[in-house]
Amino acid sequence: MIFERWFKSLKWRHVEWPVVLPALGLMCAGLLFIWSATLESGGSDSDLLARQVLFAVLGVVAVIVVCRLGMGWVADRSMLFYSILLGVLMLLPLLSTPSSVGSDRWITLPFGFKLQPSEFMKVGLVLALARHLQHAGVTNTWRSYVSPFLLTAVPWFFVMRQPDLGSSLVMLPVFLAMVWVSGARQRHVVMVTAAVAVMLPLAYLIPGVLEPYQKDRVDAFLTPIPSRVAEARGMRERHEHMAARKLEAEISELKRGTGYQQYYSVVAVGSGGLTGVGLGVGIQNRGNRLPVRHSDFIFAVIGEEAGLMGSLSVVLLYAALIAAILGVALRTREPFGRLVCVGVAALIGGQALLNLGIATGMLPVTGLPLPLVSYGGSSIMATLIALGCVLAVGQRRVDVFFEE
Amino acid sequence: MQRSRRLVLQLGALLLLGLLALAGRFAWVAVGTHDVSKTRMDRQSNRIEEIEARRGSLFDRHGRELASSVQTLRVEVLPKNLQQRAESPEELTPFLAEVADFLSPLVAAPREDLIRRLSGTKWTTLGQPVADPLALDELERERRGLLYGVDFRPGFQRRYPWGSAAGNVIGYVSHESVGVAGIEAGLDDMLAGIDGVRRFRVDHLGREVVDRTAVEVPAVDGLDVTLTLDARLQQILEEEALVAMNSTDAEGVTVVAMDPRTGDVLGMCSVPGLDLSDRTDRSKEGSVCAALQEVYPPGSTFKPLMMAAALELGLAHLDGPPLDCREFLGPRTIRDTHPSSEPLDLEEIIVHSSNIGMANLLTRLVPLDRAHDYALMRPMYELLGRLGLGRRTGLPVPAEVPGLVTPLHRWSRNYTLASVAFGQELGVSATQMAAAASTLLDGLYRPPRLVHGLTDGEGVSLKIPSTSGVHVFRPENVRRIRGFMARSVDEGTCAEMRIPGIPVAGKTGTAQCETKKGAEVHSYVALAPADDPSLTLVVVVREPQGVRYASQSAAPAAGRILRRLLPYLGFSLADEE
Repeated sequence: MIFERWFKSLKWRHVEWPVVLPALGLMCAGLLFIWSATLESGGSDSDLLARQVLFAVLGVVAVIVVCRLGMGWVADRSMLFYSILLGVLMLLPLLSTPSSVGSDRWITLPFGFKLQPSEFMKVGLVLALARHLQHAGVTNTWRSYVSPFLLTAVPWFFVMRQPDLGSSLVMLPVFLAMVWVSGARQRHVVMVTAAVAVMLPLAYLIPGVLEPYQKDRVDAFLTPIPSRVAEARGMRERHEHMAARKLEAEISELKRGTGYQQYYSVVAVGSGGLTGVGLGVGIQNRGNRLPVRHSDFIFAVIGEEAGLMGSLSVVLLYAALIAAILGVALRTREPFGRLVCVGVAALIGGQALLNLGIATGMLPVTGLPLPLVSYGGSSIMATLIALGCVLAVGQRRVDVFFEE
Repeated sequence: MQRSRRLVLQLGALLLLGLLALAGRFAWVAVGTHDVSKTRMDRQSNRIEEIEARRGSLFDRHGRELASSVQTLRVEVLPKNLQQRAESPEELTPFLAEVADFLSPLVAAPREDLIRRLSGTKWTTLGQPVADPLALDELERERRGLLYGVDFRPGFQRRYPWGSAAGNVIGYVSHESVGVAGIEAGLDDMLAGIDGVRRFRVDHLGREVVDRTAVEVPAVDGLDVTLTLDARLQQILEEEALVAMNSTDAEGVTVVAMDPRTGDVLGMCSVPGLDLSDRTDRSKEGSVCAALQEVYPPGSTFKPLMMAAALELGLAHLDGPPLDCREFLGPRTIRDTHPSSEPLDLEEIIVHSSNIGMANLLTRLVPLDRAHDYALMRPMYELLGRLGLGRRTGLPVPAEVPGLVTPLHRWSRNYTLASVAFGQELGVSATQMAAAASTLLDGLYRPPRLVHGLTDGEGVSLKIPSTSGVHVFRPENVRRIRGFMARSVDEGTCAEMRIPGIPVAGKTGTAQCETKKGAEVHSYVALAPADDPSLTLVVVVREPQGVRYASQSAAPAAGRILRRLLPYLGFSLADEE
């Protein structure tokens, strides 16, 4: 049996359990709450859970394959993967199917499956940056930034153009973290961060950079619904009925539009309280109030049904996972492996921070899955492949000895 | 290498710091804003709905259903909820058409009308509430499929299968299933049951979310009530009362049939009546249950009872000497329809229906010189009370009249006492009269009753026993008086009253209506069979036109009723010669 031999050849002793266990925990939590979020409420998709399980299994197989192939194999082909993915991304407008939000993100596969290349691009970027920085590193010259910056900026541009603001935003912490660890001057990193911090408001202010719906989301974030309601009430009290009516129309428009996702998400987490209302009985969840609650807003379901206990557990699992990944980075003696681990930690950590920040109303809405937890085949597979790379790095530390 | 390690640690610290900040935010949102969010959430999603209790049924003494509540479902829809289920605008029209096709036969509404309503924007009720159990099943099956987004409001509809029989006795309920008239109102407490309540949650479109959080206090169904009425007998009374009303052109006819052995009211009917099966027929005059809600002067029909009273009070003996009946012994002129120059014995007073004879007999109670000493008349006054006059019978029909009996302190020998002797200066309801006349069975007064038994939702039933009766007259006296009445039937002018093979004790009464000048009330009281009565019948004809005496109006009606009722009750009539 080839599979049996294959299975035995896996170096179980060298598995990084501190990485595997939190990841498994997050995946289980994800499956549990996807189940809850897709409970039959008349005509909803009950096969979403089965699909997610399928992708999770495929992802685990991918992890094993990556571990088996080893870090060297992957490292040699990093630039190849990156190029292929970038090519797909560039050709995406030709291949993709128009989606509901008006963005071209997916490639349709047989049997109704859809692939989201931008999810894989993030992993490709981590590998490519690691490959590049491993050799070149970052010195004190500005020129040394050019190649890593271009490596990031090209896919960033195409992902941004889809538009997929969430995925493109995540590339930034990945880039920063990797150049940081490869020896960039603190001053430079701070300057880049500051530049981005300035650019973001500019993107909002200069017309044409953001799509209209993205602007709406920022608007909704800047003046959330409850404060608008209070403002309208104040207008009524001051007998400014015309203005109040206008604002109320705006509010009801907002409740129908993009702002209400976040509004209801925060209300859901708030109504969960300390211990939550119980699995499968959250009314925000079951009452269809939250759209995409099984994917981008899965945390609202967790917050409502499992309460603060549940959401803190999720944060704790992420903390453990990131700590474990960085632990691998600390132990490995290979620059490439270390950079990959740092990149993956930044990817998962950054994405989790963004998603949770959105779900609790700290950031404006962008479509971004919660890694390992949200529904989404591409996302979970890409994340698992990234973790597979980390595990491969972890194995390698025993195999190969070489002096620096 | 060392520097690289430090940088990794710095990065890790940064990420963990971010997560820590998030945890703080979570704590604030989950604990700090919990109350506000929870309140907002509950207000948006919690719904409390009343569960209507099933109203108890009314049965007749043989278990026939007189009134019952049928489960119905009202089909309601907010069109938006349904419309957004269509996957594309092109599919909307065929989808709505499919729903309309399905619903059209069930809610009895034309398909086009349904499509028009489903395409609209307003919350709307579709067609009629569905009551047919098969149709209900079909709706239930589809409520999560084709009809998801359509609302079903359970409710009840009251049915009266016997239509106009006992219409104004049974009464009816309002749209909210509250008893408004008749027994439906009188027994509302028993029939209504206790509504339940249910709390559940709805989604953003107001549709119920089916999960385990719904809380329900189930409704307690109303009691089923078995009445003493007999629906078939009631129908006979109804038909004959209508015949009597039409043939005499009367204002109204009231008939009460009672079992004198128990006080059970077998039938109680007044025309013009009420057809309960026709929802639009709720006329005011038809709603009056005249047998309990209207009084009339009993007139001569009261004489047998007064004769029994005279015997009871020791004013005469059954075989005593005849009375002088030429004039009333007092300062008042009383006339007889058939004046008699000869003295009459007790039997002849009844047979000839002599007012003077009755007045002379009863006024023996009080000496002429103490005509206004009402204390002397107390025994008579109290006897009227024991006969159930002047107070409500307590039957469960609202707005019952207590009847009219002059207060004792205003009694005088020559007026009140003398008038009561032949049934004037007195107002009774037909039911009171039937109950009083039933004492002629064995001298015991039994209060009339309408409720025979109760059954609750679990099938536990309670029979209400009939009371044993209160002594009013001595049995041997009333037996003789029934004989007098039977002779008056035999010798009377009304041939219809002579039932072949069954002796009947009867008495006519023709009285001036005290409230309306010139108007007359004709009435008839009968006990059959005369030797061992099992039926008391009172017929009251109000303001008949073109007839002079009760023997031409009430008596023939009573005769026709008895000819149909006695066979129904198991007596066989002899062939008519």
